[in-house]
Amino acid sequence: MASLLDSSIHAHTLIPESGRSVKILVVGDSEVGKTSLVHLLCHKVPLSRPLYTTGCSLEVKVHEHFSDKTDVSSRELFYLEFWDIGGSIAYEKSRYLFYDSADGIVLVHDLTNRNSHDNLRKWLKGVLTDRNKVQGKKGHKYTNSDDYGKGFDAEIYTNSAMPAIIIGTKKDLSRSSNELISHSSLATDINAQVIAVNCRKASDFTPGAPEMQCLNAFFDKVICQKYYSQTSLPREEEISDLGSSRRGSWLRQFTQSLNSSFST
Amino acid sequence: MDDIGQLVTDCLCIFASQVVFFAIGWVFFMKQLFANYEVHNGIVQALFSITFSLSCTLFELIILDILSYVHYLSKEVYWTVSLTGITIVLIVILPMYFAYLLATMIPFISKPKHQRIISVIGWLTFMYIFWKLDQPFTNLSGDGFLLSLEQCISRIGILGVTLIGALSGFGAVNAPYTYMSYFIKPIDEKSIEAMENKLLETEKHILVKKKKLVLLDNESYQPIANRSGTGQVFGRLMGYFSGGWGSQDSRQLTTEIKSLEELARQLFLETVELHSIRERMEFSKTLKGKYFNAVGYIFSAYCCYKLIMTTINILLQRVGKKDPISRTLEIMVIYLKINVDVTFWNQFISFLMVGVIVITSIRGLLLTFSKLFSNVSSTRSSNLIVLFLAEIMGMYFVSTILLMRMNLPLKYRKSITSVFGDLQFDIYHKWFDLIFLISALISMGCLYLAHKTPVEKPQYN
Repeated sequence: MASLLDSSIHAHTLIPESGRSVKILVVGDSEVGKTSLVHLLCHKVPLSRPLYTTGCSLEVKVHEHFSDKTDVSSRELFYLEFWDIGGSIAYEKSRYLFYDSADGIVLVHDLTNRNSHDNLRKWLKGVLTDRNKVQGKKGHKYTNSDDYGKGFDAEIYTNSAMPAIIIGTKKDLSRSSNELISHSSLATDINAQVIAVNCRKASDFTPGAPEMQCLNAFFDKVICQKYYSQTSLPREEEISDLGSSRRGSWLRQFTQSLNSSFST
Repeated sequence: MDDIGQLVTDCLCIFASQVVFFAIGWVFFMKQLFANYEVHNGIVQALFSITFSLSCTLFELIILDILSYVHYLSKEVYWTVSLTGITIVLIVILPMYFAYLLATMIPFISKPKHQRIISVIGWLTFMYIFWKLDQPFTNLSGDGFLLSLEQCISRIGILGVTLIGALSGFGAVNAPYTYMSYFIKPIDEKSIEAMENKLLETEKHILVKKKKLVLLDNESYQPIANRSGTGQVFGRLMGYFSGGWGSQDSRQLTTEIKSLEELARQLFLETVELHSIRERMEFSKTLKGKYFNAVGYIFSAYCCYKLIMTTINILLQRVGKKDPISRTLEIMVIYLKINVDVTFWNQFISFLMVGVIVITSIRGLLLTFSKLFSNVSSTRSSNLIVLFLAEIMGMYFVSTILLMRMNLPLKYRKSITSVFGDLQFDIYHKWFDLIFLISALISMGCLYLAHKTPVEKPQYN
């Protein structure tokens, strides 16, 4: 009964089928647990028999976004589209099809496998450079995954204004998860939160858990970036910035940070 | 005194080179094979490196023999040591550890004592099968002792020769097929775009349906106008008791989503294939691609020649007696009347040939391993696969030496013959020819089938 009353008060904030949505990419090496993570987030129960993901696996979750944290009536509902991209090496030349117009990125690594964390740079760079490689664009060159490892430029990331979060899975099997969290250089480079979860139990994803709060903050950031922010650059500028000189870069970053602090 | 001094220096040099090979194997393991995994089990890495090091030592000894750098005594010592070493590794250590790892992975056996017993049983099974390999080959190695080095090497040789024959047969057919542009089906850009568009459309459909499903499952998110039932309260009660329209809709939606997801997977796999064909096409237009194309034609001509020769060999039951190097030099001297210093050229060309064979087979094997490993392995099975690959590598290298013997002039053949003892080398060559032919024919059949039948497009209404 109480929920019925609530819903009548908030009738104007309920979400229709064509409601607003954000596209969030979930990337990482093969077998780190992306599919389990997304399944747990959307269905609230762990995935019993995970299989290798061919291509892309899609899940949808409705997220409550409060534009004003103190006002309950400012609740708005958004669809979160999770695009869980299969990490097999066999598909690396065709993955770019899914990267188009993504609004946020979840970088997943395996806490028992150090290399999966180090590969996240390659994944991030891959998403950022391949995002514009959609079909119909003439003259695109296919980048090898080896090229991604060279010189990941944090500047490209800052210019793209795409929020990111780093999630380490298999917390129950790892002994050094805390160490990795505090020393993740990638996290400091891109200013992302780092959390560690266990995708075989739902305990890390209950609303009160600190990991879930971190995730909710990330979702809020993605939604704000897409719908409420005026400082996001148009997408084509990011790649042309690759050729720009390093001398101007600190000036550009400085002016951008000034802009963002004045506009909010 | 001089002799002993020489012996010691030689042994130290060869040992130093073994350490270098071990380091190369170690680094290869870490950087290439396990590039995407974290190494938790150092023993597996050590075993792989030891096998690699011992195999490379064998090659090195042959090369040193040809160059006559080494004192004959140290050569004898080292040959025996290396052969014994690699035999023990291949027959005892690798299979035993493989069985042990397998035993640790079985979920319902947790006590270490049980695991050890099971691994010993596994090893004994392996030894039994290994021993029975002698059956189809009569009198493979004369009447040696049961556990003598010759017996073991002869069986390792059989396994390795089978492997080499199968791989060569497949390679002989596959290499021209991959590189020759004659076989590359032309794909135009429009069909690739159409396929990509279809894929993205399907993903969009899936998203729409999933959003519908989320709304159905969580009624509180729906606008009131969409609620089931006439009145709100009445509608909710009906929803609870009859499991009514809502759950039927959601079941239907779930099945629709499942079939859409299956379609999306198929479309993605087709897109991947189209992309790889396009990549091959673009590669064939580059300079390197044209070079490979030309080499492909030459290579396929050579492979046809080889297939014909092996068929003749098998039919006529003959094995070549003279090696190609001496024969070429003979032809040059006798028929073409060119004056060549036979001994010098014999040595030089043998050295070159052995060097080229050794380097290409090591490189080829390691590259194949990396590709195979990244395709096949998963986090749980990575250690097992590496051990299996180490075993194959050892057998492959030992058999390469056996087969190489036929291509070397008489003088150098003797060293291999003396080391390997009383093996019937002819049997190996005949067996190699047979396996090569069978493997090539099977690969041709498979490639023909794959080339002719196009991928069937799934129908979706």
